[in-house]
Amino acid sequence: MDGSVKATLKEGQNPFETLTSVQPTRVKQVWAVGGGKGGIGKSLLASSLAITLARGGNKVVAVDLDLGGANLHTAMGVDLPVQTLSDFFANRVQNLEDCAVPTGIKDLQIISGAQDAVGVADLGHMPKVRLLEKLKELDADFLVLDLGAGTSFNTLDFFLYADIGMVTLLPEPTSIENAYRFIKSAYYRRMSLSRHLTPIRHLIEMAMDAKNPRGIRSPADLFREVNNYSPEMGLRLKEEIEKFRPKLIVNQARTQTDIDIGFSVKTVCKKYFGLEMDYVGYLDYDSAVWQSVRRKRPLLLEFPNSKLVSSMDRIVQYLIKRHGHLRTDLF
Amino acid sequence: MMLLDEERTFYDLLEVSPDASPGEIRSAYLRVKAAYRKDSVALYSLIDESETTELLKKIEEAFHVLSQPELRREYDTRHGTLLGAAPEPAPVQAKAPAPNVVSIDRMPPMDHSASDPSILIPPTTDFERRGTDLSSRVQHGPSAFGPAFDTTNEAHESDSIFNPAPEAPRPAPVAAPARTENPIPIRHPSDAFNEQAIVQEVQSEQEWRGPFLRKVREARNVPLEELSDYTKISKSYLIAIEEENYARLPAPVYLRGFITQMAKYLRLPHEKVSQAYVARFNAAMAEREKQKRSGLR
Repeated sequence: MDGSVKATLKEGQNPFETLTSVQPTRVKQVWAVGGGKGGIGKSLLASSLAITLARGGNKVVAVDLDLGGANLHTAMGVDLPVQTLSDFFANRVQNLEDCAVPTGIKDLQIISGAQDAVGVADLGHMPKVRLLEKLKELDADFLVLDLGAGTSFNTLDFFLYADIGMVTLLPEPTSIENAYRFIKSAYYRRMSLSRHLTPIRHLIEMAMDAKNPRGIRSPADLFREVNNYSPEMGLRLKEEIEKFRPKLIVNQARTQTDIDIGFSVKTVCKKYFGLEMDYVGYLDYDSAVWQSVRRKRPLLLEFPNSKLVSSMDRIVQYLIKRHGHLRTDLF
Repeated sequence: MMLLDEERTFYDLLEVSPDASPGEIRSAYLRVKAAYRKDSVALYSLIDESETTELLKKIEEAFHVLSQPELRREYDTRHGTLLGAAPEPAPVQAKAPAPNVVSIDRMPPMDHSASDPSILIPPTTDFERRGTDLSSRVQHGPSAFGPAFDTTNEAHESDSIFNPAPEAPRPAPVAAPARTENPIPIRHPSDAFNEQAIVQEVQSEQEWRGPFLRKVREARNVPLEELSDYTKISKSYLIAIEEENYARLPAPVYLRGFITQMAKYLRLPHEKVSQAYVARFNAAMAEREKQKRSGLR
């Protein structure tokens, strides 16, 4: 636990930022799976990551944050729990722990997203902050967040809250377009939330509006505007950009060209956004997936010999080895 | 200019460190070039053609210089990018990018917090350390990418690659997943590692059959289109050659030229390749002739 405090202090530049994280939290790391488009395997990936982590001896809680379209429980092969995040938001349960139900897999629990409640999908700021605070107090080593499609502020904030945020994409133009939209939204959102960039927040918010009067169309435009405003802020903007390091996963790869798309997206993001993304792995297209979905059983358990099992192991190992120490200092 | 990452040096442009080996530079060049290829789906909705044309030109220029030792040395001296061998008063340009030049590809961010931020840290490329079991990797099917994800039992030999310095406080998540394997980063097919593997095979190759030519082409990440552009041979012939589809191949005199062109572009011993291939082709044609005649009788 000591380690986690020190790590937070070390990475956080501004002591104010670390104030909230000085309390040692139970949870060691939060992973989030996003990607903009629907149907690209976010729930499958999130459930597989959670299962793989749990099988490695970690205590894991998988959290369905697809508010309004929750189906992580189905990917995990459990019925919709009686108590979900709806009950948490409506104060019908005392503690968030009461929403965490066992999955039948050792050390793995699931908190299901709100299915019903109208209005939960566009959650206000306060309930969101409360949820994020309570999440970190859960009795778990890892949280795996399954995010909804789209680029709502909620989804983006959950993504940015995670220590490791993974962008999923399929090797097809629609998915890539949405992945870029997602990255762009998360990117601007992150900048606008950063305390270091408060003086230029108005410019960042302007950039988020595609039809802004100053004609800021791209991160390069924003950077130029910020530099005009103050070179020092330009430097700080650059530092903040470098801190944002989403991870990339290509799903349903059928050919070598599909796999290579991950490398190309990484290169293009570096060029366009100035972002260092890490291409952490790909998953082969596997017809076992829809079979397991139809049987409402977790893929990893239903098809233990699928190549996806070892691919998942490799991705998880790699993430822990390489990024296991990361702490986000945004929230 | 719509692009944020204004690369400062040719090395930045190719996303390699200034001490990259020729192999690394070549594979980086292929990787970066692929990202901006006209039909690259990764550009979709983000970067348009006018920008990629410009970029591709710069990439070619960078590779042209960095792939030739003489030009590269000159460039390094001029830009002060050569570590150690830099001229005494290090040029300003070399100094400026230093604190931020350490990318996550090379070191986890915490690692350099302890060290001098102005020191350029060379990349820790894993393939150099993992070159021991090449032969076993090479056999993994035609996909040049196969070896990259190959799982081996070399327990934790490469642990230090990604681990931050041991003194860095690190609340390491407890246990690794049950199936202990090495976390191997994805390797691009043009990666020098694959190149090493294929070089061994090329050295011992005798027959130079079509599928082997395809394997080399894929390992070197040369798309058919590129090969066709360069050799001015239509794709259908290239495919026929790779498939040993004799019925679709031209007369030996043309075939020999085709194979020579192909082999040259793939950096293979073109005389040996064309000789072996055309000999096999001739033998097969003669055999067919014979059968035809015996059928007529």
